[in-house]
Amino acid sequence: MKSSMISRNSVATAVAAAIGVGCAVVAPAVAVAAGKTPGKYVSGDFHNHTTCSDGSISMQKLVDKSIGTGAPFGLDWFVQAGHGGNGNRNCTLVEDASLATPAYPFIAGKGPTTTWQSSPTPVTPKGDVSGSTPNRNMWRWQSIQEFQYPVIEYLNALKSTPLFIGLESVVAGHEHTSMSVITGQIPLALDSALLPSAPPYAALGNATALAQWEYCFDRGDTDTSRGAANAWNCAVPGSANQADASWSGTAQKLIPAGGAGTGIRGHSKTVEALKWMAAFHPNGSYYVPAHLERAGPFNPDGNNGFNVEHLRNFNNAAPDVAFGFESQPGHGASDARGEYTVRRNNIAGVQTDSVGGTTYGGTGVYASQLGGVWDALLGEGRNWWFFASSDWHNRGSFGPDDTRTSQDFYPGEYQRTYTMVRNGADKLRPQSIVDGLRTGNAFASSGQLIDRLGFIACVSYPGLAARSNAAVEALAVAAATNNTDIDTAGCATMGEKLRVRPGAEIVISIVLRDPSGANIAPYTFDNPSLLQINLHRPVNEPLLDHVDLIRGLVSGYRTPGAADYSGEWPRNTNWLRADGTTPADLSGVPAAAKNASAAVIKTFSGASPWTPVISSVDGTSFLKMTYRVPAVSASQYLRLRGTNLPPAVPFETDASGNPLADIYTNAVDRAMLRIPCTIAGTNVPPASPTYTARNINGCPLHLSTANGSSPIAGQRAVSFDVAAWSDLWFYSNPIYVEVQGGQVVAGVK
Amino acid sequence: MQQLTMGAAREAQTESMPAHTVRQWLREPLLHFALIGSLLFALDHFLVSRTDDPHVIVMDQAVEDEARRVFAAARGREPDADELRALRQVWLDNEILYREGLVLQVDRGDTAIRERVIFKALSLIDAGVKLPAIDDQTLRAWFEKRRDKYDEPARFDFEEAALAGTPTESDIRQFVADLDHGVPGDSRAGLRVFKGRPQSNILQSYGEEFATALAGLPVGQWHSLQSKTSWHAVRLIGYAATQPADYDLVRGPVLQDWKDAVASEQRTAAVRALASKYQIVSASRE
Repeated sequence: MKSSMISRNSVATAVAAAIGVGCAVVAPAVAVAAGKTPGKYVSGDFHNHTTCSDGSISMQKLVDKSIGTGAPFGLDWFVQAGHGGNGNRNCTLVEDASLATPAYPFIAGKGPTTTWQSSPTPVTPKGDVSGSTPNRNMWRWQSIQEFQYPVIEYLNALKSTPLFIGLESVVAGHEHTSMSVITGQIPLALDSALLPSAPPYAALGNATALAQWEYCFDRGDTDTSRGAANAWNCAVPGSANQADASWSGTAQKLIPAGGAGTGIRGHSKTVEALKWMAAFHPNGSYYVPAHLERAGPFNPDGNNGFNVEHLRNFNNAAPDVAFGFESQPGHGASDARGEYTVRRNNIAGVQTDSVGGTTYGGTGVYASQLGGVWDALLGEGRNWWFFASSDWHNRGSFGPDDTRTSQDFYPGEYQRTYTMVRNGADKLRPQSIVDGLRTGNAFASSGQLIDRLGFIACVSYPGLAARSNAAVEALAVAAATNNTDIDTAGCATMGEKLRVRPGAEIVISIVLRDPSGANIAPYTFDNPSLLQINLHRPVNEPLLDHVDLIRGLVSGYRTPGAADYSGEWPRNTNWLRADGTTPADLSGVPAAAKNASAAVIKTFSGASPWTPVISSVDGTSFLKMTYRVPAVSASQYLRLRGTNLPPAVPFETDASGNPLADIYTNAVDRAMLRIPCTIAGTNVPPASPTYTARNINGCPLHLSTANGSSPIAGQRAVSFDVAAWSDLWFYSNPIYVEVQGGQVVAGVK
Repeated sequence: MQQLTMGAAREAQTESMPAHTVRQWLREPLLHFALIGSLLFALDHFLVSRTDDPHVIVMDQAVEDEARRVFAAARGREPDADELRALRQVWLDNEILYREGLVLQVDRGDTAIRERVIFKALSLIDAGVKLPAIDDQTLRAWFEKRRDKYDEPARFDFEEAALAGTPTESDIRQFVADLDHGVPGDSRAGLRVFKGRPQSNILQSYGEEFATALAGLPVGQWHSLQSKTSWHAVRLIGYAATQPADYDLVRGPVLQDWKDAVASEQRTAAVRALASKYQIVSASRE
């Protein structure tokens, strides 16, 4: 779709960003209501690992667990995306006969930890030599191009499931990003392909574009071979390329020098990567920074985290490609939720916290903090969306088939991102899925807290153009019960904007489904967090407690180089204090990283009534709620969050219902553990053998025992997967309201 | 085996001792420490002795049982003789790879393997924990030292009528006046209902000043109260005073807590005992 400048003035005044990256501000091509192709909200995951990088299982087992028939996690689409760089293990070999397929049979004595050179058909990795025989590493570009993509394409066809391949890039100048280039993958011809009854499988499509990107721009890929016979050139149209001091003539790519300035040079390379994607694959790629608070703040002399200005630079450079973040990280069951910890990163010789020190209800501080970085970006009117992925690697103390975990959840097991994919009568395909991600018409939910959401805002004017609550509720009910959205003039949903005249009234209807019965948590004992407030509710039967409607004002894009464009979140104890508390307000947060106008304007709950409604589609129970914003005079956005935890649950939520620091349930510091888990139960299994049932009625043995100065020292405490299953949240993406004559919401057409 | 021997020795010993002396001995932490330490050294010896001959692989019934179980789970039927033979071969191949991998130390630096081994080792320690017998008098004394934990705390039922954002004191006072004139509690940003909240919860979430003020409110009237972070429009709905715990009613949870506490002490002591095998070198931190 055609891109356009948001305003001539903003471009004319744009100057180099604080760290030297000049980025034109370009509006993304995002669809709005009217004439929409029909679609459904479908759940997926785009960040997970196999043994080809640092995961623990084969590609086939991961696909089978995540999306396979009979898999409990039931995702609708799946992107396999290991780290960039290299690896010596062949993740295309299966663990056992149950995972065998005609083209990829089980071979006794060989499995996904077998090295490439020791594989049944030994493979000699191409390009620059890394490692030594028989354990030589294969560059990711080769494993994607020649091995991983063919498996994904084959399984896509064999299982009739929407699979494609992506990457968790090791980012130059930063830590990691979930991304893909889908060009060439899963061609239409695959629909009618005859699959072989024996090896080998010859792919019809290819992931060459993704492989080339990985070679050109991944920090972990230090190969200089130009992809061997691929003879790639990584030049970016309109960029310095050979004139850049970091350019390698041999490798035909930027290879920034290490040492002082590493982060600055690396970030510049990454902006080039985005320009490359925008130039060559404008609608066929995405770039979503992952667990972006984990590695701490941006480090100009190293490769650490992302500050708000880097997200702005990415979105400015390629608004159709860099359109959001995974501020809700995976690794939800680890001893430090999301693997975010204090003093995690050594920056300039100083141990530095993950930004925010930890997660907050499982979400990083950038998105969980009301008025924080996400609100700052939305307050510009940017298309910057919220996503959640599993970051699956392994099960920690347990084997891969255990229902308990002390490290990761499988894709779809805990977090699900539901995205509106407009595929009409067609099957789900990579292009329609990526198009869906780009629109921001999506929400993320943990622990199956909700699995349907209709979130609609309609404009109402006095007189004939007035809309009743009932009329808007009916639209939302129809949308949610049919698992779709709306296509009604004068109304908008997530990722869209509603254009209104000054003084208009906005009618907001929310219809959602809190699934009845049990979720897939393996624990049936009472949620220990809720027991603190005398509420008895099994861990595996969470109940939505309330929904917050959040509003923030839109004040326009910040100008690169301006004082309010760049700013680091308060680091270390300037944010997360030793006792686990955080500042009462955002006065210590730089202007660039906050939106002071963001606030909860309405909380819905059983007491602030929502109304049950029975679906005429399938008879399941939904909740509906409506709120009217009177006389709007300024452009704004509306978003939702909800949780199973009431306000003022000790060590979980504050008096206003905001999530507290997860440091109180992180076993990495047992002296900080605060919530006892003391239900003995009658069937708590031992550490081994593998336990596969979902009926554990007492606190599991792997929970940590609080120690030191903890007031519950000596008691087993909520931690690991029990902490995650006890503390559930959902986040919607925003609906923008653009007031005529007011601030333009430039990020959404 | 070592465990059984120790147990038998203890039984033999108790037969010749007065009952109260036996109970005292069984409550003696040093005895527990010694028992667990013995068990762990025995376990350690057993594991070490197994690794003395790493080139012997024993394929026993457990291997066959596991093969049958995995096959049945995947295929929905029992394996036939050929299939079972193939499965045993797979297990053997994997065991060889496993042993070779250990020789090559491929487990080094793998946090997943490290965590799994730690968890299993801790489970072995847990299995060796033997709680001493405890009589009711001793348990009651243990309870009395901690009785505030078991008292039924003062509980509050209250409501908060919320305003958007962070309201000022005057915003809240005006809102309370409106509420007193019949404006519904959920008319603005929503009504929060809190039922049976223990006093410790009020203290932790709102602060002492708020908790004290809440306890002094007349039931059913809206008031403006300041918490440690902001102002709130609050109405007390009900209050239940602290009720001292009745030991007879809470004996079950008390016994469980005692078991957890003693087990935790023994577990820690056991790990610390193993530490004596190692020379611990502290590297200086930057």
